[in-house]
Amino acid sequence: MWRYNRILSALAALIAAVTLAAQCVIPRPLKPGDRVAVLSPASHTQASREKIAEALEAWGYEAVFYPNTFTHRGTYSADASGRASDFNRALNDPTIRAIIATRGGYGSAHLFDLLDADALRRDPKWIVGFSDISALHAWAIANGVAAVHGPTAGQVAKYGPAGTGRSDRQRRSVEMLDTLLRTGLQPVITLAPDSRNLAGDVTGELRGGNMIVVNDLSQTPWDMLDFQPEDNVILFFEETDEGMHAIDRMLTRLHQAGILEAARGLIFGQFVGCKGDSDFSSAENLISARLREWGYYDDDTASLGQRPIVFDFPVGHGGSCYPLISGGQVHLKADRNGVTLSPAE
Amino acid sequence: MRPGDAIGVVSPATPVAADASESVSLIREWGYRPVVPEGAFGGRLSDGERAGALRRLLCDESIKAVWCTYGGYGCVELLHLLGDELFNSHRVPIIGCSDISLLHARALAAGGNGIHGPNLIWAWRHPQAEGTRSLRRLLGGEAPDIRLAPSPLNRPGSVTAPMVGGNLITLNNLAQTPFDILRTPGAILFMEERGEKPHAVDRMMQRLHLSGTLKQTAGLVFGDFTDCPGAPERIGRRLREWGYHGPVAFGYPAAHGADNIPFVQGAETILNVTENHVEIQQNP
Repeated sequence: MWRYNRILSALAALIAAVTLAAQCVIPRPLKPGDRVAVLSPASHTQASREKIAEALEAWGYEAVFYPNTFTHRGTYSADASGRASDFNRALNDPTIRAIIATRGGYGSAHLFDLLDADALRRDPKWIVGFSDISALHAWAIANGVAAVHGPTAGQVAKYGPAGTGRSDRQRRSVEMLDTLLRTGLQPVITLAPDSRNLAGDVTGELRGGNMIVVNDLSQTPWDMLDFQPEDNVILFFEETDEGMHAIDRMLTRLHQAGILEAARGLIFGQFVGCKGDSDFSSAENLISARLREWGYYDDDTASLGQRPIVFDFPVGHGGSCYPLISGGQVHLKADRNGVTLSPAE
Repeated sequence: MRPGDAIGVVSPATPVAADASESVSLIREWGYRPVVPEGAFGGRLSDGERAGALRRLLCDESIKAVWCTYGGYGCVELLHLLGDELFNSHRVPIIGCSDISLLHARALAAGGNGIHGPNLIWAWRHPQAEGTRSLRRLLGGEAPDIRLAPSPLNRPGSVTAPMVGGNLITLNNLAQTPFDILRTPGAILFMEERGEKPHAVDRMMQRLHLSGTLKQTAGLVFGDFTDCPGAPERIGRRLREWGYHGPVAFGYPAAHGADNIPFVQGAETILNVTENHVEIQQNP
């Protein structure tokens, strides 16, 4: 009998270890005086060096620029090895506590084979940005480290304290990033109800980003959509300038591959400029109609309790980019009064 | 196929105009009997109705082939409405290209087959095109024997393996579904695209590289990349950068370009690429 117990307790320890290992490490929050790397890992940028430096300084940090932050090579800032070299320098510099991309564009996935994953694992630091930068978040999560899906350095300069003519959501996006970096916690986000939402109350690991970028990592070692129901993943997606058919095709894949079914919650952010020949007036309406057709709005489809579905989340292009910790543990609650996303207890 | 055999006609994706129904005259001209369900022309059918029309044709033992009128968009919604039994019993080939690649993927996943070739309306409008003539010969049992002009983007080599494929973006979005024919180990992959931006094509090729999909293939054949400026050159450069191992042929005239030479999905194919010529031969 003692033997049986020992096997059981060994098994329990193993399960605990595996469960713990599955959770992403949260990089430490920033302190005044910390240094922040400003990089262009994908497309080249028109952002202002001075304004970025000023905005980060207003938050109490020192902006550190790299050889390829403001260079041009075709649509990219530099070739893949140049972009990776900047990134690896930042990863290996212990004084750098966050890496913020000037912008997205295209090209982050070219760096995968060139990045120093050991450096990130040894000294986890925040990787901040969105859109194409979602690919780098996927890379960080694959290496067990959470990242910030949030405003780029270009947006911080534009919508930060010195910015003029900014909308309420633009201002809030940047203020929340400041809070997140100082506290290391997911800022609480509350929203009004949306008629397409489905109520639910779940706790799990937030993951996602730009729909096509994340979608096109499937079957690679950096596929953040490769998870099991017991991983308790809450997915979020945003998109820009993809046709309605492209959205429909990707959503159908996520359904047919069992990814939507395995998720504990579904958050749809901004779908900006996603138009085209379709029976639906917007990408969000198309998504909601498909989910209804496939049974995601039927209570009994979710074996682990009702899976909340949330629309018009202020995340994505168009200036609404409230920061989300991709790889972080959060609590998502949707009901007829609205939506609340908060850090997990 | 034999004279008098029936060919079913469907519009499984984008609806086509009623006056395009004249296109079935081509089937009669070839000595076959067209079977045209209601709504194939001028209909605006729901996903369920389109799947139903296709199901009835595939179940009908008198039908020897199903020819799609046109691609466009919409087959992806039919995949989960069509069962394996429709494809593995009579093995009726579905003919078409572009969005129709999805029906080929569905059929291959169930052990069925398909003919990647001109859609009916295109063939009717281009009766003298080599693609149309070669499809007619293929239905009569004569496999096309294809020679392509050499290209500096090609990679020499010679393999014999089943060839599968179709439209890149539609097949790319079958990853991790049961219909993922890009992951057919040991196959020659055929890919074509239309109207996608250079970085969109690059992103999909990156995925096929990073996921190890390209590594599993025996060879690669690239069709038309219509309105995808610079795509073949960029793909060729990437394949060299990644050290792709097998024969590579660019310029197979199929899909959205001036011609549309058919091939049988999943049939053994000899792909022989040298510096001076490209030879693609099937034994369906």
